[in-house]
Amino acid sequence: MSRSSRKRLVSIQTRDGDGANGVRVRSRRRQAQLASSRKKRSHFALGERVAWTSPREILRAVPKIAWLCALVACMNAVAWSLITPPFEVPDEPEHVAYVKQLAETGRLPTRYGSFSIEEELALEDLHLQTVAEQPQNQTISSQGQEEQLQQDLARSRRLDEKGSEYAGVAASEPPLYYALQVIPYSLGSGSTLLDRMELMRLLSAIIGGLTALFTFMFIREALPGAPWAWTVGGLGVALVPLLGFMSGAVNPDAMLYAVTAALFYCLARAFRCGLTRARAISIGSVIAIGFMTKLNFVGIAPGALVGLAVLSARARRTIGSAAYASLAMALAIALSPPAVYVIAHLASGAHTLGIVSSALHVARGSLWSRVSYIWQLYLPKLPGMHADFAGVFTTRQIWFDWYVGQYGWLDTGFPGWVEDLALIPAAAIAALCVRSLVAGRRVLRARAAELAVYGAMSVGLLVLIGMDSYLTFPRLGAEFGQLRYVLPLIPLLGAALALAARGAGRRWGPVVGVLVITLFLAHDLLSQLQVVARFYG
Amino acid sequence: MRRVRVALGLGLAFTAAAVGVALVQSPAEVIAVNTPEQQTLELTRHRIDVCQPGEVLPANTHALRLQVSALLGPRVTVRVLAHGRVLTSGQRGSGWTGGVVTVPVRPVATTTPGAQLCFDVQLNGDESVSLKGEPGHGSATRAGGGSVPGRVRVEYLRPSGSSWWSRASMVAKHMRFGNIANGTWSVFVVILLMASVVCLCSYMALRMTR
Repeated sequence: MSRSSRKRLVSIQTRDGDGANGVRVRSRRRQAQLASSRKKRSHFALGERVAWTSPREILRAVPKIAWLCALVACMNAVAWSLITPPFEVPDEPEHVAYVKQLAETGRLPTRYGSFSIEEELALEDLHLQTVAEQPQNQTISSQGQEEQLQQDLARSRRLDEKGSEYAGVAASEPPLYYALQVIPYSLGSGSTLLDRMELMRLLSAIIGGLTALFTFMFIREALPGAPWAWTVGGLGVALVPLLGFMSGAVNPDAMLYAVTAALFYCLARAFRCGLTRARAISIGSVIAIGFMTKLNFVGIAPGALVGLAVLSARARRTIGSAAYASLAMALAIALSPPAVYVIAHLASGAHTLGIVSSALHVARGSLWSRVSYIWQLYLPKLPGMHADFAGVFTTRQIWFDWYVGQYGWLDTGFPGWVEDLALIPAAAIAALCVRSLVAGRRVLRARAAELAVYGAMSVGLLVLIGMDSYLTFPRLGAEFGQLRYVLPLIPLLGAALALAARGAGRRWGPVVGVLVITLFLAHDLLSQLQVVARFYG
Repeated sequence: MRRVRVALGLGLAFTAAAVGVALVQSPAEVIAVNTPEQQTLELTRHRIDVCQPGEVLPANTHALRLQVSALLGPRVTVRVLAHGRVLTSGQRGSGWTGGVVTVPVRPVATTTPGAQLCFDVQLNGDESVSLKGEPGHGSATRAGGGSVPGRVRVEYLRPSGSSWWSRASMVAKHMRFGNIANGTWSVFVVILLMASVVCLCSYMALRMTR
């Protein structure tokens, strides 16, 4: 794309509201896109190489306010990392063991065996068995217990033992997040396990900052009409307590949130500005990183791949068959990690998709009973469905109440009246959001394909969580019915907040936006106090 | 712009008030426990409607904490009776999770020994719960006959005499122990970080409409 046509396109994009003059602006944008695509087509025809922007230019293009959102999310996560006692985050002992194994032996851990002596001693001295899931028990509270812990940590450092063969539930996860965590782990190699954990938690906090940054960028692309509302969405997400809690821990979920936010951003950008080869490669790369981060990404990927296909079909109208070359390149990049995964499992004689196979091949129950269960995991039962959650309104009691507050090993929450009270602002935000959507229904229709892609990504993740939960049902009602698993969709929450602020109208929108920000801030601070009270009160 | 400033001021004032109200609350304290044992008594999917005799209901009990664990807990109702009369009762809706369930009850003025604690864990045959307590001794009797093989552990709670605010230094000291950041300094770092977050959010909110 030439400099002048890019400039024109940018100037039109910044004015591209979803309001009254949307049609005029769209037609101008269309002209600009056609002009630029004609140039592109000739470039591709000549076999010109993709014009890459330098990393410095990319960073410079990120608005200052997005960096500030990232900083808020990062500082918030660091605060959470200091408040939350070690290992008091779901599966943190297993994730730490994975990093330890990778850092000290260079090999992957297994699901069998036991933790290293170093970690066993730490878990024992911290009384994890009696504190986790037992809110009546607090962390150690005496000088004697602390001295015992420090002595054992120092003693275990002198042992010859290397790594931790056992990483339990974490062993089936792909290694990218853990490989990154090897860096802080190694930096703290001269210190105790708890010090190394804090360094690892700090890396997670930085990744948490990226989640807020990409969410801001996604909102900017998806809702370009009111720039002030981007801050509402970006800051709202940066202050979500559960994001701070998870990003303040050693857990690959923290990275999955950032990767998914980046994917939402890349897709929104491509839907807004068209699919270039560079954008196709970016989307493919982010999908590949997602596959290498956490297995749950398997639920999000199909929707994103559909998005790539839709974008390519659109791009074909302007740049011709070069669009399919970009698609092929993106798919090759995106699907290379799962291909390696499948080959590795086939070579070792295991299931083709490893542990993923268990969720995909649920032998028990009919298709209808599975569909019924997954539906009821999120929504009220429909006529004709067997009641799988009798007496539990899952939408409210699992998803909403646990969003309001469920920290530690799901053992730290607010009293019931707080959950009831939270319904009021939640309903107000939802109503404003709907108002905004109704007002912009014409634009929504025009962007139906884009919305369908986001919907497919969301539904894919929700179905995966439902299928996994169904494996242990009815012994456990909803094993994976935990909000942290849904948090990869957090950019959509950010967009909903921005829409809600816009739904209040031009005059009151910024006021509502500020109130939303302070509401999320209050929620975050009170959640931190709740955790402090539970563990140290 | 003025409206935004007023909204920000109100929002921050509300936040400060909410934090202040939280800090003047009193934490719950355990005033009595019926048994020190925490052994698993039963793992079941079926409704548990049992009464266990020989309980002491302390005066001013605000909540009962039952050692009943579930991933997605059902509705739980409790009643404390003496001589066939209900002294207090309470319920906890479904959807709770964890190793214990706390049920708020109406406080009573006097301590009542020899009370009967009845609780109904309304399982529907799907989700399972486990009961913990003291095996054998003083078994809880089911409403429909039979018994739970032991006494379910129950803690009787009331608000302590001191507020969270008055305990702040103790909490800060406690945070030194068993924590990743070994030392009281971490408390001040957290306060500094969150104060910075508040300032940054205010700055960004004010800049939002420029």
